[in-house]
Amino acid sequence: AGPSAAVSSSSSSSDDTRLAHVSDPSMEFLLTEVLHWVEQSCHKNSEDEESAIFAAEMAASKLERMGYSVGYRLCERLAQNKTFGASAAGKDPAQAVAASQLEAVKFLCKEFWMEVFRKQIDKLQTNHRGVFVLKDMDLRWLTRLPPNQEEARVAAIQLLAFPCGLVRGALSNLGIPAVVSCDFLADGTNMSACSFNIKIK
Amino acid sequence: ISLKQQFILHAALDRLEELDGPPPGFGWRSQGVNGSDAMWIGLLLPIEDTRVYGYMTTTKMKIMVVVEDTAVDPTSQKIRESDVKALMVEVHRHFVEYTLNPFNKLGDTMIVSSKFEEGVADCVRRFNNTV
Repeated sequence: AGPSAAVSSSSSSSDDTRLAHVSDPSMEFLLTEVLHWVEQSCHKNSEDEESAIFAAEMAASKLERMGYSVGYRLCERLAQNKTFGASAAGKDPAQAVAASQLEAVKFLCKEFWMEVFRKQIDKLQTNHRGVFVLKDMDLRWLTRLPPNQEEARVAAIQLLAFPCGLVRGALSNLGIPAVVSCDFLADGTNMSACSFNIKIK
Repeated sequence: ISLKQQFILHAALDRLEELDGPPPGFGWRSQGVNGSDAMWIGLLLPIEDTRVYGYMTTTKMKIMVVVEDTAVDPTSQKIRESDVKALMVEVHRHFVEYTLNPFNKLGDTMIVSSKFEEGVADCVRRFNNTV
């Protein structure tokens, strides 16, 4: 693809001319290319199904690790001037820990998601015992997928490994080790709905 | 970095962890404080002829500064402390920039970066010159 005469995706005011802008199409092309590269570099050796599954898993975890690195580093920048409110005084320790985890996840849903996807998470659910479900009904990177195609579905699920890593990386930097998985919620026409499940270790 | 300095730093780190308290931590923080004020811990340890100040970021990164104890009266000490705080905010900034570089290792490894070292040395020099 040639250079894109692209729309900037910065969400801040246009007065600040020093702010770096990222081109949306370039980012999406890059992600697609990364997906291809990761598949190729984990290419299966023999033709049996087991090694195909193994190769797919290796590719997914490679992509997830990339996401982890990006998420971790981005979190350092975004939390540079942030403090998470909730005072621990007067609460029992388990409650205080749960409250601080909730603060961290809320930071993820708002500021972090805003920075990466220019919108916030649409729905946050928790069981207050270390499990969180984050739903995004319109994930930026999936919006251009053709509806109702099996190939696109598969690609979407593969691509979602990256945001999973982003979430895991950001939480890890805040001192919260977790396992992050995701579900593709697409219903045919809307190919960009997904949910992320965070289970704190 | 001398053995004596290492000893002082470890002792200060112990004190820092004491102040931090049990999870979720940040035990020194008072209500409603935000930003760099919330990350500033203050005096950790007056030991021998030095004072050690502490600072901890939201991402649990700790900065400790060892200052030679020359100030005599409380007001000049207060001024010094605000200078130390400014120093720590600068070091924090350098750390964030270091972390953003994807070629740098994450986690508990030693920071090997001339840019980081020069930046910190610069901050220290500026602090020393404002005494």
